[in-house]
Amino acid sequence: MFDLEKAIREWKKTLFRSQNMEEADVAELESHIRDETARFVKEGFDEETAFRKAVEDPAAAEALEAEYAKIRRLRIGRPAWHPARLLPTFAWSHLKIAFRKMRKQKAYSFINTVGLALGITCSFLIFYWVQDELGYNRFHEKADHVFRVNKMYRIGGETNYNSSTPFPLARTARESFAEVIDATRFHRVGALVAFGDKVFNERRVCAVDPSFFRVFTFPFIQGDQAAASMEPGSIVVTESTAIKYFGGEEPIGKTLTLDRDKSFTIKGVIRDIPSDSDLRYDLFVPTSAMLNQELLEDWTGHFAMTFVLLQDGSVRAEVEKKLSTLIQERLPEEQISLALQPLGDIHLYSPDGSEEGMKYVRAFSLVAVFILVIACINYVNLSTARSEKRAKEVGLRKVVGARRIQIAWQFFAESVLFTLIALGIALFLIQMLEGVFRDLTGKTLALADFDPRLIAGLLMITGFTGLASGVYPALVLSSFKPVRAMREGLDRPGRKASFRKTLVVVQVSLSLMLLIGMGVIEQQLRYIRTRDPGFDRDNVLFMRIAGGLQDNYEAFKHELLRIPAVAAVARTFQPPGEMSAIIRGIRWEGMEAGESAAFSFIPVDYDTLDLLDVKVVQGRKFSREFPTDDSNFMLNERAVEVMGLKDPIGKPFSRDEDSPGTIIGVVKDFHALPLNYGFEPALILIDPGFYSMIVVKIRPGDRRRALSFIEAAWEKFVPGFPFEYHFLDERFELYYGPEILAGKIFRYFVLIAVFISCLGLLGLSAFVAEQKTKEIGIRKALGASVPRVVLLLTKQFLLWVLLANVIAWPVAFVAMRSWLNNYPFRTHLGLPLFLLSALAVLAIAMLTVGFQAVRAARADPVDSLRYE
Amino acid sequence: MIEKALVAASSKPIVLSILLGGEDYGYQIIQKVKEISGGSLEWSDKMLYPVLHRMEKEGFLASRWKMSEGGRLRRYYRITEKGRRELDKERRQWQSVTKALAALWKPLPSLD
Repeated sequence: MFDLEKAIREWKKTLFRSQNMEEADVAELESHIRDETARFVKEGFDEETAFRKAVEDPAAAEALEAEYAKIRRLRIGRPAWHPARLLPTFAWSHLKIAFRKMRKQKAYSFINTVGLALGITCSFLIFYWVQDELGYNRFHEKADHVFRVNKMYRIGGETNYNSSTPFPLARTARESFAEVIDATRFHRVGALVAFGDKVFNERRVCAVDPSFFRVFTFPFIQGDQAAASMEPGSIVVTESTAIKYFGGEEPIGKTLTLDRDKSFTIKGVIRDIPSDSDLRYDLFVPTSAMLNQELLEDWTGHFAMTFVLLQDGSVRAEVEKKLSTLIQERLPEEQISLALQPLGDIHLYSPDGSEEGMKYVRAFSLVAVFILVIACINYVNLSTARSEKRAKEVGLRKVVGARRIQIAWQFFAESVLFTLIALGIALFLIQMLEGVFRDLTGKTLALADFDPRLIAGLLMITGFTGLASGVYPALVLSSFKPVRAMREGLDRPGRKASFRKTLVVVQVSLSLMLLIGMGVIEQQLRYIRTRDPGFDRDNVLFMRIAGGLQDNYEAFKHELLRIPAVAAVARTFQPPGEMSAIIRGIRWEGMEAGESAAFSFIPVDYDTLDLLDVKVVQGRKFSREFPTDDSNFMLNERAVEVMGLKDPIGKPFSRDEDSPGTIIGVVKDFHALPLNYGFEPALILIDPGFYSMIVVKIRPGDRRRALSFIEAAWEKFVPGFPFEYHFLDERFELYYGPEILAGKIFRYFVLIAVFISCLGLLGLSAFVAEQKTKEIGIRKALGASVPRVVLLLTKQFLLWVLLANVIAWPVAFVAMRSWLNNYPFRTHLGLPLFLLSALAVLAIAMLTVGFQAVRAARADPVDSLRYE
Repeated sequence: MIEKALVAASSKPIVLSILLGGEDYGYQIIQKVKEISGGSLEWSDKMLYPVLHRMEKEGFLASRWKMSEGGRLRRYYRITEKGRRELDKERRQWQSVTKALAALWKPLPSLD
């Protein structure tokens, strides 16, 4: 007898066999079958036939099942039964698991988080520094259209560049060319500024035209721009200068006295110049008040900085051509052309386009990337190395139905968690280092201000770190085949391990490159600081001639020489290291018509060269015994070379038609400018009109005592003028200040990078030692000595370090050679430095690894073998 | 008989249009289709169910289980707002197709 219920149960069983059918589907189909059967019965079939007709043939059932399978795979958005969530599904549980793992593996987690945190901290600080450097001078509203006019001229046989231009250039350019909307020129002067009994020797006084405040954006807080149209007798000061002189009193309308005899009324106060400005002045006076009219109209004296504001859309090259034509018309004798440099570039690039500060921006950016990569490699290596421990976990997860992508997500969540914790630590570190960073770089890092640029930078760095360190482990760990992982519990020793080796080698070579780089930079800095400048800079001080000293010089000199500590006194135009004056239009026999050269211009007194101990290689120094010496000349070796003179002594020479003279001597090349500049041909001559500095050589001994005597003499001769002096050696250090500073910062970051690498090596060696616990136990049981076992554990690391050397040396050599090419006087890029760096890395690596190895080697084999 | 591809393509607008008349369960929907097409639209009966599920997953339909008078548990489907919009879209598409075909076929050549 046919039992419908039994038949339906049987039929349902076959359906349930399919993994694509769910209970609800079967229930629905059952209801369909029952309806259909009922209908056929009604039509007159017996129950069995009706049922058979209703279920149809097996082929149709198969097709149906295939359809269901298709729907099961169809995934549209979030399933209806799942509430919307901020985090992806399972993210929370992934994070929870990650957190538990972290707690279980404290040392490993510590190494990872500290490495990542240091990496993020350093790269962020560097990122901030680079951002700030790149942002210099861009706060001016018209920055995109403002250009500095640079001058290109021939000195000796070479083309040189600087930014000194003639005063009339700005006005003429504005009047002559439509593209030039506005132009401004200015000149920095020094002045003794007095208000009542407050007297300061101000160095940052700037002689400007009204256009200065139109071209540049220096907002007024008192008095408006009209008031500060720089009419004769007006002066504009910065906020803090106003406070310096007037305290809390109203500054507008107050009168400042400059150089004792010129009075200026304050017409405006501007906000303090922002730190990212290269134009840094405290007082602004009209050009006409500080410089004489003749100079302001003179095309031959180049003392002004000129900036032009160009019309939107004008072609820079064309304006450059027009400006060059203009100056060539005015100075037909000389080979000068003019070029424009964007205001935003003047901080990092020299007028000749060379990378003055940019080289550090590049170097630091590279270091930041290196540090991050090193930290990420740590993470990748440690987490894949430990994968053995996790293989079983992955296997089990897969067995109970986890898909690969889910496992990948879980490991990724782990790295995200690490990165987030690292970010937290990094934020704390950055906060802590704020003061150090400010002291070191002079840049204020205000994280609390929530500057969107900073936040974006931080997120970018963190995101990169999370991604770079998380993706690979996630993919590798999720790829384990469950059966293999469960049974063998082992990561195949092939490809992945060799990838890890590659990463270690990369990491060590990055550290090595950084160390070599650091070594070269330090060596170069030491070189330029200690290289004999060609003159005596010890115990030499200089001061600016002030007040009536110009006329009373001989008496003052006599007074100074009576001080026992004073050895010699002389005058000069500029102190060595700052002898930047240039004389153009130098001609000599054999030059073609219309050709001329520019020489470095060094006016000295009769005894100056003696005081500075500049060596004479040919002829003699200036002497009062030769009455005509005030119209004779000395050259340096470079000048002789440039002029191609065979036997210079006694040859006629003149700087222009009016002053014929002879060459009486040749001095050995000395560094008239810091060592960032090469030797330039120099013309040395006697010219009292230029003396503006008094140079004093004191005997070695008590500097302070000597100074107090000199100050007393100063007070006697020019009372009321502040006694200000500089020691030549100290001043020289100052020139290299930015370089020394950059070198110092570089050193810190390199050391941190090496430290992070060490952390990674430490973790990895601990892991290797752990992995070989049994091997070590057996070897020891069989009689291996501790040193042998240590060697066993360390030799692969040794090999990696050696391999890293092979990679790092050529790269570092090429990079550092191009770095040194920035300097005209450079240290030798020698093997010792490379060897030393390699040894340092080797020593550090061996110490790190050896520590673990010795610990493992000394363990009692009984303990390691009894395990299990 | 209508070709399989065409049946598959037309199933969506047909089901949606039927459900426009109100909530219904699978078996009834199948019966209605047969009725309307006079049997020329022959679906392999149970093939409608995957279609219904797919459309539910896409959000055009919603379903619920309900006890019928006969004491049988049935799954009732109804059209959603999204389904109505989808039907509008389908309708326009089908109309333009039929319009195009009608225009092509209008002057039926006389056979005699």
